[in-house]
Amino acid sequence: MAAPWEFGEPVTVSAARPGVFHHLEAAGRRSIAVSSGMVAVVWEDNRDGTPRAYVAFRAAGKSKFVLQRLSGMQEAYEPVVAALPQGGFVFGWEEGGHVWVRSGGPAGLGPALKLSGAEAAQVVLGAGELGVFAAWAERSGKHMAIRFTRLKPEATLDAEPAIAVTAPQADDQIYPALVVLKSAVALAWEDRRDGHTVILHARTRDGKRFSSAQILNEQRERRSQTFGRGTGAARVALARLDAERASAVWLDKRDFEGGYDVYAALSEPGAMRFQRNERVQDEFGNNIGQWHAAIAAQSGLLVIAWDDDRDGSPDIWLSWREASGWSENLAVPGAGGAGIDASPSVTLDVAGHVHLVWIEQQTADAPTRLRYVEGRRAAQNSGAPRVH
Amino acid sequence: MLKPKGLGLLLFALLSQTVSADPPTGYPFVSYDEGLVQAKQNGRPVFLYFGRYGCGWCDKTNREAFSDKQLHRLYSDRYVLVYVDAESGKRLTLPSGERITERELGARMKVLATPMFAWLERDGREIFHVPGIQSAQDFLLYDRFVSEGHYRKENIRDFLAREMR
Repeated sequence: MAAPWEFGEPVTVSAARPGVFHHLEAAGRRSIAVSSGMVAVVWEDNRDGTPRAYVAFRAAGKSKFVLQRLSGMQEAYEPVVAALPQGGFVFGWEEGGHVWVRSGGPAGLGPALKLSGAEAAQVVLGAGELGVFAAWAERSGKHMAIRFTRLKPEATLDAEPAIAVTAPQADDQIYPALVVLKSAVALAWEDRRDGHTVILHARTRDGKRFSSAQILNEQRERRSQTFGRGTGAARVALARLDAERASAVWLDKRDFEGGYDVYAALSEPGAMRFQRNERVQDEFGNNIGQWHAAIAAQSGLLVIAWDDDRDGSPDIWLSWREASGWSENLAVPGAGGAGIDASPSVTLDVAGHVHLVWIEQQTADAPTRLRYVEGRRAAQNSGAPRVH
Repeated sequence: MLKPKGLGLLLFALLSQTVSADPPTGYPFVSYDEGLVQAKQNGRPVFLYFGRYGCGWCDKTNREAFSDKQLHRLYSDRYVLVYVDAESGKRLTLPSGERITERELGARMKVLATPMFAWLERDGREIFHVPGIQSAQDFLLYDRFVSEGHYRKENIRDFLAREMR
């Protein structure tokens, strides 16, 4: 199998220290972004005794990451990052039961802005021609509901009043994912209105009203003794395949005995509809569980990363979209073997180079460290693969 | 964040419970964090129920096994009962001090199918776990494995093989 990328040596973003736990948990698994050659990685760890959100920057051609703290004085979790079209980054995280954002880069971070008006979590960000947008889960009465706003990344970051993505529901909506296309912003989220978790999606063109929510994960069998009210699905992520198409990945339990599988779908132009669901992992990963699926796309290139333990311990795997479907799975060099390599986040830069970050542990009880590797677009593959 | 204590902790836990699933009714199931605190305080082992919102096999097990009166009495008396939702983003604190989500606990414990049941020492260390539908008789046998201390001498497979002879 000829991989489209040639991987370099992994480098450490944040080193292992006894008692310190690194986490790459984020809505949409948006923990890494690249802007004008600058790589930004966000994560949470407890290096000073309290879980806090951090960012590390690596300039083009440099090997070392330089760390800054994103969050304030309270416990913080699940940071996300998006690259801004004009350069720099916007960051989001949960802190003290609310969601916050700030913009900046290695030269410094702007002031933090609280987005939520009630208990909130799981913020996700996206940026493109239409602007910069945020979505998150916020308490609305008894349940969590997805809220959405346009950010105004001016001298001081500001936000428009947030709107609800759907009418109030009788159960929770959590873990949104977001992607900005040329003419629409697409959202997807976990929704429990049907008595089990389904992945719903909707889009907005004007940032003020969303289309009616549609089911993304196909429902084959429902309300049986085996499947109960329905099969499980979790942690959707979105990426911009090209100017008008989104791509989605999520973990799906429709084949319930082998744990969650990685499923993906490509949208029609405009992201009003998604095409058929496709299982991503190959046959060697079919009878084991997949976890932590992340997605990246760039100008028709599409790659998905996850971890599974088909070779005896959790390793990072990649699959990319080829003309015939999803590629055989690639064990990322330097992100596998003995020990635990898990919880990946992935992005593609404008040249199609893949940037991957993950958590590495020697054993389940050992300290964690945050690792990064770049895969340079292989010359023989410079014209392919792309999704047409 | 200042760590809330006592009643504040309970209120905080209740308010920040973003999602909930389906523990069997009539049993005193509590959150993971509260369960480990209780286990340390009263010296009882933990019975950990991994469910999933809408899970059919969980509903079946709830209906057919957990409705058993002997099982209800035995497990309510002998164990701290903890329910974890395999798709939840609710946070918990592992015995190591690490804060992770309920879903991440499922990933670490390789919960491939729900329900999954685990028996834990009072300090949170796993004794053993079993996946899938279980009968009341199964649970009563598992209780003997734990409460009579067989697990200190043999694994669950050997214990069950001996009991089935």
